[in-house]
Amino acid sequence: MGKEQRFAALAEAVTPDLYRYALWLTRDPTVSQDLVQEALLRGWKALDSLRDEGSAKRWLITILRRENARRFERIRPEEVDIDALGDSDHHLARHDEAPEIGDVRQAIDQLESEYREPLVMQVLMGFSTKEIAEVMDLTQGAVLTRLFRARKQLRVLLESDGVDAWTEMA
Amino acid sequence: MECMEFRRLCGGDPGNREAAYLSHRLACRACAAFVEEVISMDRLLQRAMAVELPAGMVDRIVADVTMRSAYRQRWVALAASMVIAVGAVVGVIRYDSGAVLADEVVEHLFHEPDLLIPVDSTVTQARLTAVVDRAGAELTGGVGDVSYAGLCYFRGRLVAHLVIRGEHGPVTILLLPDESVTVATPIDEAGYHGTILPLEHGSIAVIAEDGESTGAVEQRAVQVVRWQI
Repeated sequence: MGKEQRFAALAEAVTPDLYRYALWLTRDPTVSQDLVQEALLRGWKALDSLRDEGSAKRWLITILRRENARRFERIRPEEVDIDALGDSDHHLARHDEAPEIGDVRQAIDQLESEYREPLVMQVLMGFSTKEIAEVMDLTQGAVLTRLFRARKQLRVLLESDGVDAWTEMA
Repeated sequence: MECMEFRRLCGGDPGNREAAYLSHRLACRACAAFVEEVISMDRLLQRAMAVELPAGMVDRIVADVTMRSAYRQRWVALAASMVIAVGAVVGVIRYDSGAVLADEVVEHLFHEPDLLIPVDSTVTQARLTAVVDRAGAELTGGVGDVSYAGLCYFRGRLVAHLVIRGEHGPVTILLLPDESVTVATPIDEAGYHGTILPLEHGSIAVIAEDGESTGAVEQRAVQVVRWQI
């Protein structure tokens, strides 16, 4: 398989998660596409050294986070309410989704980024707490604490059944 | 494991595989229900997080990245060829400038034909030092049997003109602190031959009539001549 075919296969496999992660990170579809493209450009250059899809995805997420941090060094961008974005622009809504999905998105969006980010990596991308710790340069214990607090806050925001069981825990 | 500790661990990682965690989950029905509730909520979160991609995004990125890479490769190749071309032009210019310098060295010799005639006199060390010093150079050792040491104008600057008694005839040395050549430039014209030798920011021209070897004088000259700072 030639380099272009291998790259296309990698991009096909990782772009959905990269874009979604970037969107929840930045809340800006245009910036998210740029970040994914920049990360994949680096992926193209390092294609021969990327072992497998899993490690490639972690490496690309690290690149994407770094590029996003640089963006903040240059200018403080205005954040966009993810649920206020038009469906026609970035296809946030799907025809078959349940009505409560919008409420959940709003709740996720209200989380502090330090809680939202590891939660997206764990729930959406299937990263282990160890992998999240590596990407975010945190201890595994710190990641577990953030994830616990993220879920607890979501329960409160969504006024879920059994919220009392969470609020009892400090 | 206590229920509170279990639920705290579950809130951080419901898929925890630690033995104590799994054991408590099996033993405590309330905590097992708690796990199920967390997992159920995670499924909802996953659906909410899985926003759809802009149409054609993957194809666009693949096309753009590969195109940019191909463009960059072409640019790099073009830049490399330009570097080679510029290098070649510079080389030609330098070669030309070296050749012109060689012509002028030979021409300079013809302006002072008396110095091309072998003589028996020997220049004193004091005069040699004074001439070389006035020309902005110094000698750290013997350059040979010097039969003449004088100052003359070359390209508008006073330079040291030395004549060394060779095996068969005179060998001329011009110390040229302001004339730079990148490589040793051969001189071969009008019955004379020799070399313009690079020395830091300047050069040393060593020239003799055909039949007289210049190699030994060239070798000594580059060893003992130093430019004044």
